[in-house]
Amino acid sequence: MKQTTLDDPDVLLMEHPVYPVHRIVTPHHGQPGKGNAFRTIFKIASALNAKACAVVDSDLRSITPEWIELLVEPVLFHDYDFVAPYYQRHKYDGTITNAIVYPFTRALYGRRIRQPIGGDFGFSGKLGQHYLQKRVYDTDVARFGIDIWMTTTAMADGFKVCQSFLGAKIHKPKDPGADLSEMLAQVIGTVFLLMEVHQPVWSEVTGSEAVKEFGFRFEVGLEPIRVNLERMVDSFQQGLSNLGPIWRKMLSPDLMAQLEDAASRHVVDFHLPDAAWVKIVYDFALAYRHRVMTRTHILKSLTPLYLGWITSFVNQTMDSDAGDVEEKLEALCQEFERQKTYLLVNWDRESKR
Amino acid sequence: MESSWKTSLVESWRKIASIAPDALQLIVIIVLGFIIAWILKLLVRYLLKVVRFDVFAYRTGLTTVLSKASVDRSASEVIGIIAYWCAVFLFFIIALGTLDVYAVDNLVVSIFSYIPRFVIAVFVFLLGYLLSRFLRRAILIGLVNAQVRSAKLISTLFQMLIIILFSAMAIEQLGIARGIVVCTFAISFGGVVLASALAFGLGGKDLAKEILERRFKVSKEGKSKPDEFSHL
Repeated sequence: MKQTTLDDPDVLLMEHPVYPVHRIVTPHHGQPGKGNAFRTIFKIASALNAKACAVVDSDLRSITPEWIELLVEPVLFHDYDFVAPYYQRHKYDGTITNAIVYPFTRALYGRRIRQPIGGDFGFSGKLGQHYLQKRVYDTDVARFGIDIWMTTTAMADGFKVCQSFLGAKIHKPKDPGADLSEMLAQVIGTVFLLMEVHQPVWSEVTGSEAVKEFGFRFEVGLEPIRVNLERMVDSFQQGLSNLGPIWRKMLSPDLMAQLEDAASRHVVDFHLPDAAWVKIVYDFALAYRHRVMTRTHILKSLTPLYLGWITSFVNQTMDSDAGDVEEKLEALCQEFERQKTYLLVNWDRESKR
Repeated sequence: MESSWKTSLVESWRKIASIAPDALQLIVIIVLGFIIAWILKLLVRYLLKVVRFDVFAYRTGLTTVLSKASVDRSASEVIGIIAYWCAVFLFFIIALGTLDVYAVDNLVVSIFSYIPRFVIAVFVFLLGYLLSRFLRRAILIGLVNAQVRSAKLISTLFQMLIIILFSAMAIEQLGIARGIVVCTFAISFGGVVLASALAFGLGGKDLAKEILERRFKVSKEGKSKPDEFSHL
């Protein structure tokens, strides 16, 4: 300041006034869960007649002020209704997204939204009101399922969707295995449930198309993460041994033979082909549809198979960079699209295995 | 000689003639019973087909139970056959009632008063069986996901316990050796619980320690480290 020619530094402050930010801080009453908390936000947005709204996860460490701009701008200035996030993540981060949710929703609804359960979204007031009218807040959707529900509803009900690149996603550390089975069941259960609701929409879709992307992609440094493959293979093998009779009610004998072959291998050689994994997911969706057994049991018995896929994926991409991993996931997505006919053919056909 | 032979013949004929209407009534009721039972069987099978009972039986494991018992018929067919023989039995009892014999009347009354208890007992047993299967599967999946080694053993034991509990309730309802059943069940159940508590307390104290440590303490270095990636 001493070396400037400015005589009165207060002038500088007058030229750059800081406006107070209006805040509404309200506790969430009622049933716990992210979905129910979102209902409060939708109600407030509706009461304020908001043009655009953005929601972000509360445990983020990598959030910057630009995120809000990136989530709201496409709604305010480009007439979009729903803005999904697009993050730079570690190749092994977001495995439910990579293994099932992204490729599956892409194959179903034909839109390439890379992070459909990212948790940070922008949406228009019109879409917020649309969400508010739905009666899902007393179901499992109201917990881990709310993110995929928002994305799917926006796509299936014909709203304009896009995605914004937000950079790295880093959140507060927590043991991801703590409630994996419950989390997986809620997310996948919501995907399966929405398939029944939107069957007329997805049955007409073939292939997929990219959605408009906002923000500038840039490379970010990501911290290395630890993955315990032995424990996952252990879970897969125990699953095959103990849950085999349950899986046999949903999967074909050929597929069971492939699983037995995979289970007999050592950790480093463990491999589950993409085609087999896609068939597993579709067979579980069909079993859920035809209520082969209690739906919760169908969903929860998927956990060891999912851990098997992660092991296979890690083994295949151990030395790969982010680009190679994306290529690998692209191949998986195409396999999901290719086998969609199988899902369609068997959707209304009840089978007894 | 000829006269007495004639008299006894007439007497026998009179006796036969006196019971003939009752016998005829009995035969007619039994024949009618068979016809109604046959219609009932067809009706039951048709209704079960309409409500897709065979699919329900497949999902609940009833079909598996039948195939394990070497029954080569569908569940709806089996229910139809049961309904058929129940109806035949019912008409047979009604037919016997027409004979107006004191002992038979008593038997009919006691059988009719026993039927509701029998139906409740069968219902309790079936309910217990279905519940035990459901809980066994739920426990098995939960334990496998938690990577508990003895998942299958624990879930099977739990299923057996539920079946024993409901069987005892059903037998108690039937009124067969009531005191012995209750007493036997209480002793066995108490014994199993006590034995399990002792086994876990003595034999499994290390396991208990490990479970509690895993739950409440920060994990130690090494193989037990959790993964660091987020699934969502």
